[in-house]
Amino acid sequence: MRLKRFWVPLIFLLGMYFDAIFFARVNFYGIHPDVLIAAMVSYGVLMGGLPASILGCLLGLYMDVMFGKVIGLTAISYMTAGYAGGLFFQKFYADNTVIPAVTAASGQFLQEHIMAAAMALRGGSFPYLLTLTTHILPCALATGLLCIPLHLLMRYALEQQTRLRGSETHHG
Amino acid sequence: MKNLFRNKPLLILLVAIILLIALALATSGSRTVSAAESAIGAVIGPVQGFAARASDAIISFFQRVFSTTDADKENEQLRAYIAQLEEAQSGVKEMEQENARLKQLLDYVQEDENNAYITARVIAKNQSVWFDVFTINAGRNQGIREDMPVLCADGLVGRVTDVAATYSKVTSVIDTTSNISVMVQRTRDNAMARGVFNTTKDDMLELYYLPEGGDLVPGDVIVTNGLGGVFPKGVTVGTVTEVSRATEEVNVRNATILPAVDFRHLEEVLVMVQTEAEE
Repeated sequence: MRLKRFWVPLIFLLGMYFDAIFFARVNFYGIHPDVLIAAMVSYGVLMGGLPASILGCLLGLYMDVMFGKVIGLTAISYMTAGYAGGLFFQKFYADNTVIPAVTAASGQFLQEHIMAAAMALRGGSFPYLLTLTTHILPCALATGLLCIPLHLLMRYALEQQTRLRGSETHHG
Repeated sequence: MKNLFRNKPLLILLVAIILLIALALATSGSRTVSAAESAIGAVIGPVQGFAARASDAIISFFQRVFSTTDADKENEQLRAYIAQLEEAQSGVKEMEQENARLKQLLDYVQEDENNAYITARVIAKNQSVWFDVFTINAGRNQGIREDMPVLCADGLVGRVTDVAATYSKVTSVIDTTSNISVMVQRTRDNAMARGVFNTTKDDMLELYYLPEGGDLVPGDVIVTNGLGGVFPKGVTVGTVTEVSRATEEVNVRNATILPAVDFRHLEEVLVMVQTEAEE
Protein backbone atom coordinates (compact mmCIF):
# COMPACT_ATOMS: atom_id res chain seq x y z
CA MET A 1 0.00 0.00 0.00
CA ARG A 2 2.87 2.34 0.90
CA LEU A 3 4.44 1.69 -2.46
CA LYS A 4 1.43 3.35 -4.06
CA ARG A 5 2.81 6.81 -3.29
CA PHE A 6 5.67 6.12 -5.68
CA TRP A 7 3.37 5.27 -8.55
CA VAL A 8 2.60 8.84 -9.62
CA PRO A 9 6.25 9.99 -9.74
CA LEU A 10 7.04 6.73 -11.53
CA ILE A 11 4.32 7.37 -14.12
CA PHE A 12 5.72 10.84 -14.82
CA LEU A 13 9.33 9.57 -14.91
CA LEU A 14 8.35 6.84 -17.35
CA GLY A 15 6.44 9.45 -19.35
CA MET A 16 9.60 11.54 -19.61
CA TYR A 17 11.60 8.52 -20.68
CA PHE A 18 9.06 7.49 -23.31
CA ASP A 19 8.55 10.99 -24.71
CA ALA A 20 12.20 12.03 -24.84
CA ILE A 21 14.06 8.83 -25.55
CA PHE A 22 11.90 5.89 -26.52
CA PHE A 23 9.39 7.51 -28.90
CA ALA A 24 12.16 9.60 -30.45
CA ARG A 25 13.59 6.28 -31.64
CA VAL A 26 10.49 4.13 -32.04
CA ASN A 27 7.60 5.73 -33.89
CA PHE A 28 5.55 5.34 -37.03
CA TYR A 29 6.63 8.12 -39.39
CA GLY A 30 6.84 10.48 -36.45
CA ILE A 31 3.43 9.45 -35.07
CA HIS A 32 3.48 8.59 -31.39
CA PRO A 33 1.41 9.44 -28.32
CA ASP A 34 2.56 12.04 -25.82
CA VAL A 35 2.59 10.19 -22.51
CA LEU A 36 3.12 13.30 -20.39
CA ILE A 37 0.13 15.14 -21.89
CA ALA A 38 -2.06 12.12 -21.18
CA ALA A 39 -0.65 11.85 -17.65
CA MET A 40 -1.07 15.58 -17.04
CA VAL A 41 -4.72 15.58 -18.11
CA SER A 42 -5.44 12.52 -16.02
CA TYR A 43 -3.72 14.11 -13.00
CA GLY A 44 -5.75 17.30 -13.54
CA VAL A 45 -9.04 15.38 -13.69
CA LEU A 46 -8.24 13.52 -10.47
CA MET A 47 -6.40 16.16 -8.44
CA GLY A 48 -7.58 19.51 -9.79
CA GLY A 49 -6.31 22.14 -12.20
CA LEU A 50 -3.91 24.01 -9.93
CA PRO A 51 -1.54 21.17 -8.96
CA ALA A 52 -1.73 19.77 -12.49
CA SER A 53 -0.92 23.16 -14.07
CA ILE A 54 2.05 23.73 -11.76
CA LEU A 55 3.35 20.21 -12.35
CA GLY A 56 2.75 20.62 -16.09
CA CYS A 57 4.64 23.90 -16.18
CA LEU A 58 7.63 22.47 -14.27
CA LEU A 59 7.81 19.24 -16.25
CA GLY A 60 7.33 21.11 -19.52
CA LEU A 61 10.15 23.49 -18.66
CA TYR A 62 12.40 20.55 -17.82
CA MET A 63 11.57 18.85 -21.14
CA ASP A 64 12.24 22.11 -22.99
CA VAL A 65 15.55 22.68 -21.23
CA MET A 66 16.80 19.17 -21.84
CA PHE A 67 15.38 18.28 -25.23
CA GLY A 68 13.58 21.21 -26.80
CA LYS A 69 14.67 23.75 -29.35
CA VAL A 70 12.74 26.65 -27.80
CA ILE A 71 12.20 26.89 -24.04
CA GLY A 72 8.63 27.41 -22.89
CA LEU A 73 6.58 25.77 -25.64
CA THR A 74 6.21 22.34 -24.07
CA ALA A 75 5.61 24.04 -20.71
CA ILE A 76 2.65 25.94 -22.21
CA SER A 77 1.13 22.74 -23.61
CA TYR A 78 1.57 20.67 -20.45
CA MET A 79 0.33 23.47 -18.23
CA THR A 80 -2.73 24.00 -20.41
CA ALA A 81 -3.37 20.24 -20.52
CA GLY A 82 -3.25 20.07 -16.71
CA TYR A 83 -5.58 23.06 -16.44
CA ALA A 84 -7.98 21.58 -19.00
CA GLY A 85 -8.04 18.30 -17.07
CA GLY A 86 -8.77 20.28 -13.90
CA LEU A 87 -11.90 21.75 -15.48
CA PHE A 88 -13.49 18.31 -15.03
CA PHE A 89 -12.20 17.80 -11.48
CA GLN A 90 -14.97 16.29 -9.32
CA LYS A 91 -17.55 17.01 -11.99
CA PHE A 92 -17.66 13.50 -13.38
CA TYR A 93 -17.13 10.04 -11.97
CA ALA A 94 -13.47 9.17 -11.74
CA ASP A 95 -14.35 6.00 -13.70
CA ASN A 96 -15.12 8.10 -16.75
CA THR A 97 -12.25 7.57 -19.16
CA VAL A 98 -13.83 9.28 -22.17
CA ILE A 99 -13.43 12.82 -20.81
CA PRO A 100 -9.71 12.47 -20.01
CA ALA A 101 -9.14 10.78 -23.37
CA VAL A 102 -10.87 13.56 -25.33
CA THR A 103 -9.11 16.24 -23.27
CA ALA A 104 -5.72 14.58 -23.79
CA ALA A 105 -6.33 14.35 -27.54
CA SER A 106 -7.27 18.05 -27.58
CA GLY A 107 -4.14 18.82 -25.54
CA GLN A 108 -1.98 17.03 -28.07
CA PHE A 109 -3.79 18.83 -30.91
CA LEU A 110 -2.97 22.14 -29.20
CA GLN A 111 0.65 21.19 -28.57
CA GLU A 112 1.23 20.27 -32.22
CA HIS A 113 -0.24 23.62 -33.27
CA ILE A 114 1.97 25.51 -30.82
CA MET A 115 5.04 23.74 -32.23
CA ALA A 116 3.86 24.33 -35.81
CA ALA A 117 3.37 28.04 -35.10
CA ALA A 118 6.84 28.26 -33.54
CA MET A 119 8.36 26.54 -36.55
CA ALA A 120 6.49 28.82 -38.96
CA LEU A 121 7.64 31.89 -37.01
CA ARG A 122 11.24 30.70 -37.32
CA GLY A 123 10.92 30.53 -41.08
CA GLY A 124 9.99 26.89 -41.58
CA SER A 125 7.17 25.95 -43.93
CA PHE A 126 4.90 22.92 -44.11
CA PRO A 127 1.70 21.84 -45.90
CA TYR A 128 -0.93 22.37 -43.20
CA LEU A 129 -3.72 20.07 -44.39
CA LEU A 130 -1.36 17.21 -45.16
CA THR A 131 0.36 17.60 -41.79
CA LEU A 132 -2.99 17.80 -40.04
CA THR A 133 -4.21 14.54 -41.54
CA THR A 134 -0.98 12.58 -41.55
CA HIS A 135 0.56 13.74 -38.30
CA ILE A 136 -1.43 15.98 -35.97
CA LEU A 137 -4.70 14.05 -35.89
CA PRO A 138 -3.10 10.58 -35.64
CA CYS A 139 -0.87 11.82 -32.79
CA ALA A 140 -3.90 13.31 -31.03
CA LEU A 141 -5.78 10.04 -31.46
CA ALA A 142 -2.84 8.02 -30.13
CA THR A 143 -2.57 10.28 -27.07
CA GLY A 144 -6.32 10.04 -26.45
CA LEU A 145 -6.22 6.25 -26.65
CA LEU A 146 -3.18 6.03 -24.40
CA CYS A 147 -4.93 8.23 -21.86
CA ILE A 148 -7.60 5.58 -21.23
CA PRO A 149 -5.35 2.92 -19.59
CA LEU A 150 -3.14 5.63 -18.13
CA HIS A 151 -6.11 7.27 -16.43
CA LEU A 152 -7.17 3.95 -14.93
CA LEU A 153 -3.63 3.48 -13.62
CA MET A 154 -3.48 7.03 -12.31
CA ARG A 155 -6.86 6.66 -10.64
CA TYR A 156 -5.63 3.51 -8.91
CA ALA A 157 -2.43 5.28 -7.83
CA LEU A 158 -4.30 8.33 -6.53
CA GLU A 159 -7.20 6.43 -4.99
CA GLN A 160 -6.44 7.55 -1.47
CA GLN A 161 -5.78 11.19 -2.34
CA THR A 162 -8.90 11.52 -4.48
CA ARG A 163 -10.99 10.00 -1.67
CA LEU A 164 -9.48 12.48 0.81
CA ARG A 165 -10.07 15.39 -1.53
CA GLY A 166 -13.63 14.25 -2.10
CA SER A 167 -14.37 14.11 1.63
CA GLU A 168 -12.69 17.51 2.15
CA THR A 169 -14.97 19.01 -0.49
CA HIS A 170 -18.08 17.44 1.04
CA HIS A 171 -17.20 18.59 4.55
CA GLY A 172 -16.16 22.00 3.33
CA MET B 1 -14.46 40.41 -19.71
CA LYS B 2 -15.39 40.91 -16.05
CA ASN B 3 -15.82 37.16 -15.70
CA LEU B 4 -12.31 36.66 -16.98
CA PHE B 5 -10.86 38.85 -14.22
CA ARG B 6 -12.95 37.05 -11.61
CA ASN B 7 -11.67 33.67 -12.73
CA LYS B 8 -8.32 33.79 -10.93
CA PRO B 9 -6.96 30.39 -12.04
CA LEU B 10 -7.63 31.25 -15.68
CA LEU B 11 -6.03 34.65 -15.22
CA ILE B 12 -2.93 33.06 -13.66
CA LEU B 13 -2.80 30.56 -16.51
CA LEU B 14 -2.95 33.35 -19.10
CA VAL B 15 -0.21 35.35 -17.35
CA ALA B 16 1.95 32.21 -17.14
CA ILE B 17 1.39 31.56 -20.85
CA ILE B 18 2.42 35.12 -21.71
CA LEU B 19 5.57 34.77 -19.59
CA LEU B 20 6.40 31.45 -21.22
CA ILE B 21 5.91 32.95 -24.69
CA ALA B 22 8.35 35.73 -23.71
CA LEU B 23 10.78 33.05 -22.52
CA ALA B 24 10.36 31.16 -25.79
CA LEU B 25 11.10 34.30 -27.80
CA ALA B 26 14.16 35.05 -25.68
CA THR B 27 15.58 31.54 -26.06
CA SER B 28 14.77 30.83 -29.69
CA GLY B 29 18.25 31.61 -31.06
CA SER B 30 21.67 30.06 -30.45
CA ARG B 31 22.77 30.65 -26.89
CA THR B 32 24.94 29.58 -24.01
CA VAL B 33 22.85 27.64 -21.55
CA SER B 34 22.36 29.19 -18.09
CA ALA B 35 24.03 27.80 -14.95
CA ALA B 36 20.72 26.42 -13.64
CA GLU B 37 20.07 24.53 -16.88
CA SER B 38 23.65 23.24 -16.86
CA ALA B 39 23.25 22.01 -13.29
CA ILE B 40 20.06 20.11 -14.17
CA GLY B 41 21.79 18.63 -17.19
CA ALA B 42 24.84 17.59 -15.17
CA VAL B 43 22.63 15.66 -12.77
CA ILE B 44 20.28 14.13 -15.32
CA GLY B 45 22.74 13.69 -18.22
CA PRO B 46 24.30 10.40 -17.09
CA VAL B 47 20.84 8.94 -16.41
CA GLN B 48 19.76 9.99 -19.89
CA GLY B 49 22.85 8.47 -21.43
CA PHE B 50 22.13 5.20 -19.67
CA ALA B 51 18.46 5.30 -20.69
CA ALA B 52 19.40 5.99 -24.31
CA ARG B 53 21.82 3.03 -24.36
CA ALA B 54 19.21 0.79 -22.75
CA SER B 55 16.67 1.84 -25.40
CA ASP B 56 19.10 1.09 -28.21
CA ALA B 57 19.76 -2.36 -26.75
CA ILE B 58 16.01 -3.08 -26.43
CA ILE B 59 15.30 -1.84 -29.95
CA SER B 60 18.11 -3.86 -31.52
CA PHE B 61 16.94 -6.96 -29.61
CA PHE B 62 13.39 -6.61 -30.99
CA GLN B 63 14.74 -5.90 -34.47
CA ARG B 64 16.62 -9.18 -34.34
CA VAL B 65 13.60 -11.06 -32.99
CA PHE B 66 11.23 -9.64 -35.61
CA SER B 67 13.68 -10.39 -38.38
CA THR B 68 13.25 -14.09 -37.59
CA THR B 69 9.44 -14.20 -37.46
CA ASP B 70 8.90 -14.94 -41.16
CA ALA B 71 10.44 -18.39 -40.81
CA ASP B 72 8.75 -21.54 -42.03
CA LYS B 73 6.72 -23.38 -39.42
CA GLU B 74 9.05 -26.36 -39.68
CA ASN B 75 11.99 -24.23 -38.70
CA GLU B 76 10.16 -22.25 -36.07
CA GLN B 77 11.66 -24.02 -33.09
CA LEU B 78 15.11 -23.93 -34.57
CA ARG B 79 14.81 -20.27 -35.32
CA ALA B 80 13.51 -19.59 -31.81
CA TYR B 81 16.61 -21.32 -30.53
CA ILE B 82 18.75 -19.12 -32.76
CA ALA B 83 16.91 -16.08 -31.46
CA GLN B 84 17.71 -17.20 -27.92
CA LEU B 85 21.36 -17.58 -28.84
CA GLU B 86 21.30 -14.18 -30.45
CA GLU B 87 19.74 -12.75 -27.33
CA ALA B 88 22.54 -14.28 -25.28
CA GLN B 89 25.06 -12.71 -27.60
CA SER B 90 23.23 -9.40 -27.80
CA GLY B 91 25.56 -7.76 -25.29
CA VAL B 92 28.57 -8.78 -27.34
CA LYS B 93 26.91 -7.75 -30.60
CA GLU B 94 25.95 -4.40 -29.16
CA MET B 95 29.57 -3.79 -28.25
CA GLU B 96 30.77 -5.00 -31.63
CA GLN B 97 28.38 -2.64 -33.40
CA GLU B 98 29.47 0.22 -31.19
CA ASN B 99 33.11 -0.61 -31.90
CA ALA B 100 32.43 -0.63 -35.64
CA ARG B 101 30.72 2.76 -35.48
CA LEU B 102 33.51 4.24 -33.36
CA LYS B 103 36.13 2.78 -35.70
CA GLN B 104 34.38 4.47 -38.61
CA LEU B 105 34.52 7.77 -36.74
CA LEU B 106 38.17 7.18 -35.85
CA ASP B 107 39.03 6.48 -39.48
CA TYR B 108 37.35 9.71 -40.45
CA VAL B 109 39.28 11.66 -37.82
CA GLN B 110 42.59 10.05 -38.81
CA GLU B 111 42.01 10.89 -42.46
CA ASP B 112 41.46 14.53 -41.56
CA GLU B 113 44.63 15.48 -39.71
CA ASN B 114 44.07 19.20 -40.10
CA ASN B 115 41.08 19.45 -37.77
CA ALA B 116 40.49 18.46 -34.16
CA TYR B 117 37.38 16.53 -33.13
CA ILE B 118 35.53 15.47 -30.01
CA THR B 119 33.45 12.31 -30.08
CA ALA B 120 30.05 12.58 -28.41
CA ARG B 121 27.11 10.29 -27.91
CA VAL B 122 23.55 11.23 -28.82
CA ILE B 123 21.64 11.00 -25.55
CA ALA B 124 18.23 12.42 -26.46
CA LYS B 125 16.21 13.78 -29.34
CA ASN B 126 13.48 16.38 -29.52
CA GLN B 127 10.20 14.54 -29.03
CA SER B 128 8.32 16.41 -31.74
CA VAL B 129 8.71 16.23 -35.50
CA TRP B 130 8.68 20.01 -35.81
CA PHE B 131 12.28 20.57 -34.84
CA ASP B 132 15.20 18.32 -35.60
CA VAL B 133 17.30 18.89 -32.53
CA PHE B 134 19.19 16.35 -30.47
CA THR B 135 21.27 16.41 -27.30
CA ILE B 136 24.85 15.14 -27.07
CA ASN B 137 26.80 14.27 -23.93
CA ALA B 138 29.59 16.82 -24.41
CA GLY B 139 29.48 20.48 -23.52
CA ARG B 140 31.50 23.51 -22.52
CA ASN B 141 33.70 21.44 -20.17
CA GLN B 142 34.80 19.32 -23.13
CA GLY B 143 35.57 22.38 -25.26
CA ILE B 144 32.33 22.59 -27.23
CA ARG B 145 31.22 26.07 -28.33
CA GLU B 146 28.21 27.44 -30.19
CA ASP B 147 28.14 27.04 -33.96
CA MET B 148 30.72 24.27 -34.04
CA PRO B 149 30.09 21.88 -36.92
CA VAL B 150 28.90 18.38 -36.09
CA LEU B 151 29.75 15.48 -38.41
CA CYS B 152 29.81 11.73 -38.58
CA ALA B 153 31.65 9.31 -40.82
CA ASP B 154 28.92 9.60 -43.49
CA GLY B 155 28.83 13.39 -43.70
CA LEU B 156 27.45 16.59 -42.22
CA VAL B 157 25.10 16.27 -39.25
CA GLY B 158 24.47 19.86 -38.15
CA ARG B 159 25.79 22.54 -35.84
CA VAL B 160 25.88 23.13 -32.10
CA THR B 161 23.21 25.64 -31.11
CA ASP B 162 23.00 25.48 -27.29
CA VAL B 163 25.94 24.73 -25.03
CA ALA B 164 25.74 23.73 -21.37
CA ALA B 165 28.59 22.58 -19.12
CA THR B 166 28.15 18.86 -19.75
CA TYR B 167 25.79 18.63 -22.72
CA SER B 168 24.97 20.49 -25.93
CA LYS B 169 22.08 20.66 -28.34
CA VAL B 170 22.69 20.15 -32.02
CA THR B 171 20.37 21.44 -34.74
CA SER B 172 20.64 19.01 -37.61
CA VAL B 173 20.88 20.04 -41.26
CA ILE B 174 17.44 18.51 -41.93
CA ASP B 175 15.77 20.97 -39.53
CA THR B 176 13.51 23.33 -41.48
CA THR B 177 15.19 26.35 -39.96
CA SER B 178 18.64 25.18 -41.02
CA ASN B 179 20.23 26.80 -44.08
CA ILE B 180 23.66 25.76 -45.30
CA SER B 181 25.84 26.99 -48.09
CA VAL B 182 26.72 24.10 -50.40
CA MET B 183 28.06 23.26 -53.84
CA VAL B 184 27.65 20.52 -56.40
CA GLN B 185 30.82 18.45 -56.13
CA ARG B 186 31.00 17.73 -59.89
CA THR B 187 30.26 21.18 -61.32
CA ARG B 188 31.37 23.33 -58.33
CA ASP B 189 28.10 25.32 -58.66
CA ASN B 190 27.20 27.04 -55.37
CA ALA B 191 23.70 26.80 -53.89
CA MET B 192 21.86 26.73 -50.59
CA ALA B 193 20.34 23.71 -48.87
CA ARG B 194 17.68 23.61 -46.19
CA GLY B 195 15.69 20.98 -44.33
CA VAL B 196 12.26 19.95 -45.52
CA PHE B 197 9.42 19.36 -43.08
CA ASN B 198 8.26 15.86 -43.78
CA THR B 199 6.21 13.42 -41.77
CA THR B 200 5.45 10.84 -44.42
CA LYS B 201 8.71 10.26 -46.27
CA ASP B 202 12.38 9.91 -45.43
CA ASP B 203 14.43 12.85 -44.22
CA MET B 204 15.18 15.26 -47.04
CA LEU B 205 16.85 18.55 -47.87
CA GLU B 206 16.02 20.90 -50.68
CA LEU B 207 18.58 22.62 -52.85
CA TYR B 208 17.82 26.15 -53.97
CA TYR B 209 19.49 29.25 -55.40
CA LEU B 210 21.38 27.11 -57.90
CA PRO B 211 22.67 29.34 -60.74
CA GLU B 212 20.51 29.46 -63.85
CA GLY B 213 21.63 26.97 -66.45
CA GLY B 214 23.58 25.00 -63.87
CA ASP B 215 24.08 21.38 -64.71
CA LEU B 216 22.55 19.13 -62.09
CA VAL B 217 21.51 15.50 -62.40
CA PRO B 218 20.23 12.89 -59.95
CA GLY B 219 23.18 11.22 -58.30
CA ASP B 220 25.24 14.39 -58.01
CA VAL B 221 26.95 14.67 -54.64
CA ILE B 222 26.38 17.87 -52.68
CA VAL B 223 29.13 19.07 -50.36
CA THR B 224 29.62 22.13 -48.17
CA ASN B 225 31.39 25.02 -49.88
CA GLY B 226 32.92 26.55 -46.75
CA LEU B 227 31.12 29.88 -47.14
CA GLY B 228 29.42 31.32 -44.09
CA GLY B 229 32.19 30.39 -41.69
CA VAL B 230 30.37 27.62 -39.83
CA PHE B 231 30.91 24.47 -41.86
CA PRO B 232 34.28 23.45 -43.31
CA LYS B 233 34.58 23.01 -47.06
CA GLY B 234 34.06 19.66 -48.74
CA VAL B 235 31.95 17.78 -46.18
CA THR B 236 29.34 15.55 -47.84
CA VAL B 237 25.77 16.74 -47.31
CA GLY B 238 23.90 14.29 -49.50
CA THR B 239 23.01 13.08 -52.98
CA VAL B 240 20.59 14.64 -55.45
CA THR B 241 17.58 12.39 -55.96
CA GLU B 242 15.23 14.60 -57.96
CA VAL B 243 15.75 17.72 -60.04
CA SER B 244 12.90 20.17 -60.63
CA ARG B 245 13.34 23.61 -62.11
CA ALA B 246 10.89 26.51 -62.16
CA THR B 247 12.98 29.56 -62.99
CA GLU B 248 10.20 32.16 -62.99
CA GLU B 249 9.85 32.15 -59.22
CA VAL B 250 12.43 33.88 -57.12
CA ASN B 251 12.76 31.21 -54.46
CA VAL B 252 12.81 28.22 -56.76
CA ARG B 253 13.26 24.68 -55.61
CA ASN B 254 16.01 23.19 -57.65
CA ALA B 255 16.46 19.73 -56.33
CA THR B 256 15.77 17.26 -53.58
CA ILE B 257 18.72 15.87 -51.65
CA LEU B 258 18.82 12.65 -49.71
CA PRO B 259 21.07 13.35 -46.71
CA ALA B 260 24.24 11.29 -46.47
CA VAL B 261 23.63 10.77 -42.76
CA ASP B 262 21.00 8.36 -41.46
CA PHE B 263 19.50 10.67 -38.85
CA ARG B 264 17.14 8.02 -37.54
CA HIS B 265 20.01 5.83 -36.41
CA LEU B 266 22.53 8.40 -35.32
CA GLU B 267 24.25 7.32 -32.11
CA GLU B 268 27.69 8.92 -32.04
CA VAL B 269 28.87 12.14 -33.65
CA LEU B 270 32.06 14.16 -34.07
CA VAL B 271 32.17 17.79 -33.07
CA MET B 272 34.81 19.72 -34.97
CA VAL B 273 36.40 21.80 -32.23
CA GLN B 274 39.23 23.26 -34.28
CA THR B 275 39.20 23.93 -37.98
CA GLU B 276 42.15 24.57 -40.30
CA ALA B 277 41.35 28.27 -40.36
CA GLU B 278 41.66 28.59 -36.59
CA GLU B 279 45.10 27.03 -36.36
